[in-house]
Amino acid sequence: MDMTTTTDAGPTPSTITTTILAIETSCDETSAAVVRAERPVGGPVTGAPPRIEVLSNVVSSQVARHAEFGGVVPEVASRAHLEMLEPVVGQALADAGLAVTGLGFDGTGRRPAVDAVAATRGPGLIGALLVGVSSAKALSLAWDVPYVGVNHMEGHLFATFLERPDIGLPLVVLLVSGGHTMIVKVDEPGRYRILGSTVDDAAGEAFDKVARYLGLGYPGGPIIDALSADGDPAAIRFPRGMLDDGLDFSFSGMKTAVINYVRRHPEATNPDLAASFQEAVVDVLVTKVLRAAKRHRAAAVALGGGVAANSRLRQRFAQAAAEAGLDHLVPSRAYCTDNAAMIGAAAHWRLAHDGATGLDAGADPSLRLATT
Amino acid sequence: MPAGEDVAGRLCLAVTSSTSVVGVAVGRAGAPAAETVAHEVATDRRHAEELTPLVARTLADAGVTLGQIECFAVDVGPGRFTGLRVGLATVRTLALVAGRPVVALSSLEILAAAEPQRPVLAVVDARRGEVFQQQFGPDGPEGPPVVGRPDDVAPDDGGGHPPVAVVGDGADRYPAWYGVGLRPGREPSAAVMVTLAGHRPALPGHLVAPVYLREPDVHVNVTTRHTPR
Repeated sequence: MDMTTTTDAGPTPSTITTTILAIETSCDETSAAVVRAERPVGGPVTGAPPRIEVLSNVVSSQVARHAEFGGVVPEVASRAHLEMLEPVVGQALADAGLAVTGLGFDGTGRRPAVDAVAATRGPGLIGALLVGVSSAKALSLAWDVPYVGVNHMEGHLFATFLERPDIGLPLVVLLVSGGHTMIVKVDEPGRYRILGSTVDDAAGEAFDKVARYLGLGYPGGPIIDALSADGDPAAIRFPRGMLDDGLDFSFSGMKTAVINYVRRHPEATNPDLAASFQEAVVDVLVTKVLRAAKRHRAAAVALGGGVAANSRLRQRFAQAAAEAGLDHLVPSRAYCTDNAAMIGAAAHWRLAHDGATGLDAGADPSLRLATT
Repeated sequence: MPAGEDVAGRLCLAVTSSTSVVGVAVGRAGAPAAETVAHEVATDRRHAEELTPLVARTLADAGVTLGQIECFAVDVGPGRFTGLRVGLATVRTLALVAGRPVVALSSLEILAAAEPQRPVLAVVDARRGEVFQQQFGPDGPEGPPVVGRPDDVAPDDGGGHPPVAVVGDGADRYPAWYGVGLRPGREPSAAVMVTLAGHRPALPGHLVAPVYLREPDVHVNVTTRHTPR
C-alpha cells in the first residue's frame, strides 16, 4: 500500500494520511509504535499541532536488568536493545493490524502499510541510540520509505499533542526525567524556547540517588512515590533549591540535605524522609512551571518526562494550574515515560515540515532542542 | 545449535563493521572474493552513518536490488561493541524483512580466511590494552577465541604450532608482540565473507548474536545510610 489519499470532493485529494513506524532506544526502554495522522495536500505546513492516532505503542523496559547496578549501565542497555528491538517492532506492527505473519514482517521484502520509519537520534546513550537508528534506516532502505531522525526532547513535547492537539498555545511544558529537567515554551510545533533548566542533577537523578542512599532500590522515582504514601510530607523541612531564583533548578543540594539529615537523625523513618524529600522537589517544580507560565503569558501548561508519572507532582500540578485558571494537561503515565508514540508524533510533523532525514545520518548523544 | 541452511551459490550481501572499517560486498556465496562487488570505508566512530549508504551503493554497483538478495552474511565480532551492533541491527533487520537467512562469521575467521598460510594467528584490537585472538590451522580454528593483554596471549612461549602468519589490526597495534610486515589484511574483508558464506550454515536472523567476549563494564559504587562510615 502506498501513501493513502482520501478524497473529500471530486478527484482532487485533499489530505494525505501518513502512517509512521517509530522506534525509541535512547535509554533503558525499547519501544516501537505505529501512529497515523492526516495533513492537507500541497498547502503549507500550518502551526497547528497534528491530530495523531496511535495505532500501537509497545514498550519493553530494561529496568530489571539495571536494578542490580542501581542505575542505567550504558553497555547493558545497548545489548538489551539489540536483543529486544525486533520483537518489539514486530509486536507494534501486529498490534496496529499491519502484520502479515510472524513477527510482523511478511518475509517477502514487501512492506506493510507504513509510509515512513522514524527513530530517536538523540539525546541519549550513543550505543543505545545507534541500535534503533541502524534498524530504522535498514527498514527505510528495505521498504523504500523515508527515514526520519527525531529529537527525543521534541518527542516529549509532542506527547502533549497526542492527548490534547487542541491545547492552548503558547504552551509551557515542564519536562522532568532521569536525564533532564527543563521548562520549555512551545509557541507552536517546531518553535521552542528553553526558559529554565537544571544547573546540576536532573530531578529523576535526585530521586534515584536519594532512594539509593536510603537503600530503597532502583528506580528511585516510583519507589519514593509509593513509600511517600506512608510518610508525612511535612515531617522534615528540606531546603527548596533555588526556589526564589528564576526558572532554573538545582537538586544536588536537596539530595545532600537528605543525606546530612539522616546522618544527624538516624532515627528518621524512610517513609517520612521519602515524603518530605518528594514534597520539596514537587514544591520547586510546580512553583517554577507556574512562574514560567505567568511570566511568559502561556495559554496552557503541561507535564512531560518520566518524573511526570509521580503521583504527588501530578496532583499538585493539576491543582496549581486549576487555581491559576490555566488550561493544563497531566498526560497519561504511558506518554510521560519514554515511548515511541511520541517519537512518531514528532516525526510526522518533522517529515511534513523538513522532509526525510538522509540515510547517512547517525545519532547525537548530546543533541539539543532547536530553539527560536 | 540449529542445523542451518546451505546457501552456496545464492546471491549474498555481506557486512562487516567490527573494526575501524565498514565493508559491504555482494556476490554469489562461495565465489572467490575477486568475483564480488565490494566497497569499504575507513571510519573511527561513524559506522552507522557509513553503513546504510554503503549497502545502497554496493547494491547499485552490483546491479541488484535488496529484494533479489537471497542470503546475508554478517561479521559478529569480536570487535568494537557499537560497530558490531550497527552491523547486526542493520543485517538482521534487512534479513527479517526479506525473509532470508543470515550466515554469522567471526571477525577472526574472516581475517584468517584472507591469509593462505597456515597456521595463522588472527588478532583484533580490543582496546584498553587488550586484543581478541585466535589461531587457525589447516583444519580450522585451534582453540576458542581469547581476550587478553598481548603479553599474556601472544604465542611466544613455544607451545603448540608457532604461527607463520599474523593478521589483523591488533597485530598492527602491538608490533613488539606480533612482528611487523606480516599481514596483507588489517581488517575483515566483506568480499572474503561472501566466499566464506558458501561454506557455513545460514540461520534465521534473530538467532544471530554478537560475540562480545567481554562482560559490560560496570562500576558499582553505592553508599547507603547503612554503609559503615
